[in-house]
Amino acid sequence: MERLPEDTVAAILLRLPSKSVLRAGAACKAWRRITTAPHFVAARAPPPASIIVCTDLDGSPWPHLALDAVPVSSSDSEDGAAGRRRLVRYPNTPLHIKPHCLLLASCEGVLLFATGAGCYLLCNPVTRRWAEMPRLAGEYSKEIDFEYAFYHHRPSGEFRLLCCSLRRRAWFVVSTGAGAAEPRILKANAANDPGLITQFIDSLFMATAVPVALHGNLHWPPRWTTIMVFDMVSETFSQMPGPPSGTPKRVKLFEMGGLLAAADFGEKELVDLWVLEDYAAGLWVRRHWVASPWDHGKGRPRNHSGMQSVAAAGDGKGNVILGNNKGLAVYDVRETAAVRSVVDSVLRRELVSNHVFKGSMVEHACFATPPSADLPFIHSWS
Amino acid sequence: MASAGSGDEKAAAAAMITLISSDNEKFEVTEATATLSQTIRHMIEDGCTDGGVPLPNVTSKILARVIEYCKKHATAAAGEEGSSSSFSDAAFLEVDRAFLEELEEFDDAFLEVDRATLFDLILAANYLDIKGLLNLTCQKVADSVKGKTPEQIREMYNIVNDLTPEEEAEIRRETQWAFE
Repeated sequence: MERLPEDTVAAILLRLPSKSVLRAGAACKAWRRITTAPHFVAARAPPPASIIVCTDLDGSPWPHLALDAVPVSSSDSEDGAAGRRRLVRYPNTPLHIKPHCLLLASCEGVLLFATGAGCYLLCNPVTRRWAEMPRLAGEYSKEIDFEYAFYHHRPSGEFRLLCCSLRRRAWFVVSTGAGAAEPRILKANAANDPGLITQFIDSLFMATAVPVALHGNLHWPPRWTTIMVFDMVSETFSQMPGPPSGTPKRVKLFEMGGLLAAADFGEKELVDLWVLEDYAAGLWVRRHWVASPWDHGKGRPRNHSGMQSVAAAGDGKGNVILGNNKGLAVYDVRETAAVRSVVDSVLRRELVSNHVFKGSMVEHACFATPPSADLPFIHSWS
Repeated sequence: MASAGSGDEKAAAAAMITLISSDNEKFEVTEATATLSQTIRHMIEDGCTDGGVPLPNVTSKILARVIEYCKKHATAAAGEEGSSSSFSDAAFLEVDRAFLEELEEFDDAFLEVDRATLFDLILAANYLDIKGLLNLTCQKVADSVKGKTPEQIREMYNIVNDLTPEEEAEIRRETQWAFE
């Protein structure tokens, strides 16, 4: 093996799944150097997208909740094994028992949990690390239903939580790197008036419209005709045209191979799949019509609130997963609207979340400091 | 090999290239076969293949295998834009399915070699810039590493563990999940 030049060894190791890369990196110094080099990490294939499914499990003294990742495409999974993977399992305590964990968001392989009273936990289930957001000071933690977006701020490497204080009529940001509990208030202007913006977007707690990150922006599904956009670097709001749908409140946005896509659940038997072909020009094209993932439309969202548990995710190879508890289907849209396989009717104790998970091995700085003593709550990885 | 005869044969003979291995053995191949190698393609384009192409990094044993691969794949590549592109979906469908299956079988059999030969093939594919062969051989090595523990990898490829016990412990602590 020492006869091979380093870039050839790198080319070989690039073909391995995550776990095998880490194991190979523990073989010798040279392989360690190769597998941790920034260009090697950057060259690895983007992680496959999964949707998160919650399962109720027995447990004592409280029942447990397990979060599983159901992949859009199974071909890239570890050791060629297809199917779902357990991310984390934890006690599903009643609301008044702390910590009560609520999955709020998923961003770049990191899950965000709200544990009440201004506390937030971050979890990377792939590297099995936990971290904590700076706790919100008293007056901020008294706001209710105020978290709107969880994103990765690239210039600083921080994970940030965008919140809205209707009392103060202002947006504020909590960052993993901040340390201090006092959140940063975004400068008010005509374009970010909270009263106006919150007409267009729902909070993470409402979970009817999870924003989709792409090209440095977050995108909320259209409420009427436009899509609300949040620039994750400059932290400013703007708008762009949504797909010309007759039922915008039943449109779900997702990412499909680097393109912004929209699934319109307004029809009974068919789902329209729109793709934003020209991002700058706001050009939406209806690329596909696929059969509804629900048997004769039974179980489809009837209104905006029905979007709460509707999942949608795609990959770069034409696979799309759509549906909710009542039916979940994987489509291969390269072939004409063909359903490749329908996930078996979801079990009684399972709940399809609308969160998309893309595993990441990146060790973000915030995970270097373990959470304080009473956290993390008792959990397991299997 | 090619004897001067009919017009057709002359035309074919004109497109022959001579490859010379490190141990001075001469191999005569068609231009279509030789140009699967980007390195040789560039030499042909630059007009410096007269009198044969010396390949001081490749032994006759390995060169014979490489040529065997190129001959088989030159036909497959003929329908494509050179050999540099990966199979596009459209091109993939046009190529006869049976032929592709045969090609796959050929590749599988081709890879039935010992480790030293496999590495020699990788080095030759790298030097001659033959993307398909490089992909094939690198994947073979990657598949053998997949799912193995660091100890198994070291044993398989005679890798000396030069990590200190402290470094090793740190790696395992940082990424414990990968070792379970």
